[in-house]
Amino acid sequence: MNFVKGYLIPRLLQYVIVTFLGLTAIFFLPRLLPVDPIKQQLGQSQTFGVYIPPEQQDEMMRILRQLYGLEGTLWEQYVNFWKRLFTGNFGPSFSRYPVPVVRVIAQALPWTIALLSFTTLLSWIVAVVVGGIVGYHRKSWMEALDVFVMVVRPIPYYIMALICLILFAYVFPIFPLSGGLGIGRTLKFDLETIFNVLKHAFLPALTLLIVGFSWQFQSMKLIVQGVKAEDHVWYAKTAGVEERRIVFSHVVRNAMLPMITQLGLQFGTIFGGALVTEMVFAYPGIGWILYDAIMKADYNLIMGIMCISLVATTTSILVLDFVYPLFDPRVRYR
Amino acid sequence: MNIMTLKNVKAFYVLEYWGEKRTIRAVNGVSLEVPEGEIFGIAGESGCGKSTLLKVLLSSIEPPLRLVEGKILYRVNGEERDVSSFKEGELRRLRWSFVSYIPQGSMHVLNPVKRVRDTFLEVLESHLKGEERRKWLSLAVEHLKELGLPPEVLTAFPHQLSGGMRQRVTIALATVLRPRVILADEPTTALDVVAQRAVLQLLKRIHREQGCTIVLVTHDMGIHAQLTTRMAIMYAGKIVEEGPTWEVFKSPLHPYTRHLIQSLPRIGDKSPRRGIPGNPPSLVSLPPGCAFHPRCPHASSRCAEEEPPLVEVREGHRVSCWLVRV
Repeated sequence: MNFVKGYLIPRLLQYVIVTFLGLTAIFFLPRLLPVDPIKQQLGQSQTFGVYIPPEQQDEMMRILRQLYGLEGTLWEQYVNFWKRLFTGNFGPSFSRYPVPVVRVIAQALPWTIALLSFTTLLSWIVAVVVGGIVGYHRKSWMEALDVFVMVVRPIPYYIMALICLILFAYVFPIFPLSGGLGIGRTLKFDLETIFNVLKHAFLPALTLLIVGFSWQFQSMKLIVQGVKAEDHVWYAKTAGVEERRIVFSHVVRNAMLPMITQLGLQFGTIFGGALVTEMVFAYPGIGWILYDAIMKADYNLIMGIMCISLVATTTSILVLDFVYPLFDPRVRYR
Repeated sequence: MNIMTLKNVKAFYVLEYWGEKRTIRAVNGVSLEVPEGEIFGIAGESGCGKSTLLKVLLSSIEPPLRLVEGKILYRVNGEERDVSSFKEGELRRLRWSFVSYIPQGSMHVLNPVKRVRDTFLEVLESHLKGEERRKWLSLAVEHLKELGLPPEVLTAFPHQLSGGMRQRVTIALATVLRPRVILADEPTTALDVVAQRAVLQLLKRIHREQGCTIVLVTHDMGIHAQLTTRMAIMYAGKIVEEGPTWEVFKSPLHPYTRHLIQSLPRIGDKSPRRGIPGNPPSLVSLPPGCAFHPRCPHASSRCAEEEPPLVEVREGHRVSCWLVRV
């Protein structure tokens, strides 16, 4: 019970407060902008030559304000914002009117989650294992891997994605150039469709894996080298403890702790999508939609994505807080 | 019978800073015989190579420490053997069952994420086989009880124990396999006097009950006077005097030993204690001749030129000083 009172409840409270403040900021920030999105929208339509009769302009503005949630005073809007949030209603998307924002996000989310959770987890696991071995042993062939990573890591991600794209989709057209699914196909659950989806996801996944692996590998390697120099490792070795026990229960076990934190924090960012990847590969995920929404000033959609990714980030930190004591006993009794 | 013998051992730390080599002569030609069943003390200032000497005795020599010269001999099962002749894995198995080690600070030597039980298990499983392995838990509990530690200690994590407790856990860990030799590196440094007393009594009891040999390194001359039967005084990587403890205290021969003993406080004596003038020499660049001559009040020109050999003055009492005539 002490655990509940001293650890669980404070963390939950913290979670609620942080989420609340974050969402409030999301509500207020766009409203601090000196532009009126409604007038901007109408002005934009008019520059494209759409004729709006002056007597209908007021009516139109009223309807738009309602859809954007911009009616009444700031306080009324704020209350309304929370009401809409709890019912999961972010209003309609403007660039895809009248499809509601929630449905747009719901369509994009599975693509992003599937791609990013797979690559995040896989690159983490491989990096922890390989980084652990390399950090512990330091043999000459491992130096080669180290050099490879050092070369790959500073390459800007979009360059790397473009290189992969040019190499494997244009020079050697093994994989499709863009999209998440072949043109003209519908999403069905059969072998051919699954194969098609995997083929489209391959290049985005590959680039994400290379980048994810590189930096996780480097941090794991450095952490392991640090842990290896700690007294308890030397002492265990002196005590004649077998090497494989030292590697796993001393070195890897202790080096895992910061790596677990990294993994948890990374999982929180999944819901925000991988903006650059999805743009380069025109992958139909959250990042792609967010890009689209920003370009088309689709405020409702931007708000929706921001809210979801904020809640996902704070939630992942909460989950991490709950899971971490299982791995580190020093946190458990505080 | 000597259970451990060092023959002219030189163990240096060889470091390289940006291409510049630095050699720290931590153990610089030490010959030592540790008789079986004694509590052998090694005394000296900080940075004189005491801890390194202990690492050499443990034959735990890892870079940057290098064994440059000399031999380390263990008497295992009545047979004297050179440590370098051991086959792969043989030395690992000898650790903790033949020779074990009590570290200086117990703060960081226990794996912070494992319960004490798992640390015991790790050591025992690495050394015991088959039938014995299954009895390890009762073995460990029994052993802790003998040492006056509650069995609950086993389920605790290192950070939940006090410093004194942790030190006793490391002592328990070092003695659970009943080794023939225990090397203790300043086991009382980080403890308050009450905990110090407990630890020292524990060591004494283990010595009495297990009949093992203890090599005790500490700069605290008081502990040597209380506990050890033989002692060696180290200065700048060398042994300058060695003999039975009572004799060293009663009639110290080396001026450095005399200084060390004079600095001990005595009850009722209110005269101020005099320190040794100057600082211990850097182990990177030792002075020529006797390393102690720049601080020695009796130094002559010979001391600055020639290094005095370690000669036996009386039965079992050796000293390295030009002032002492045989």
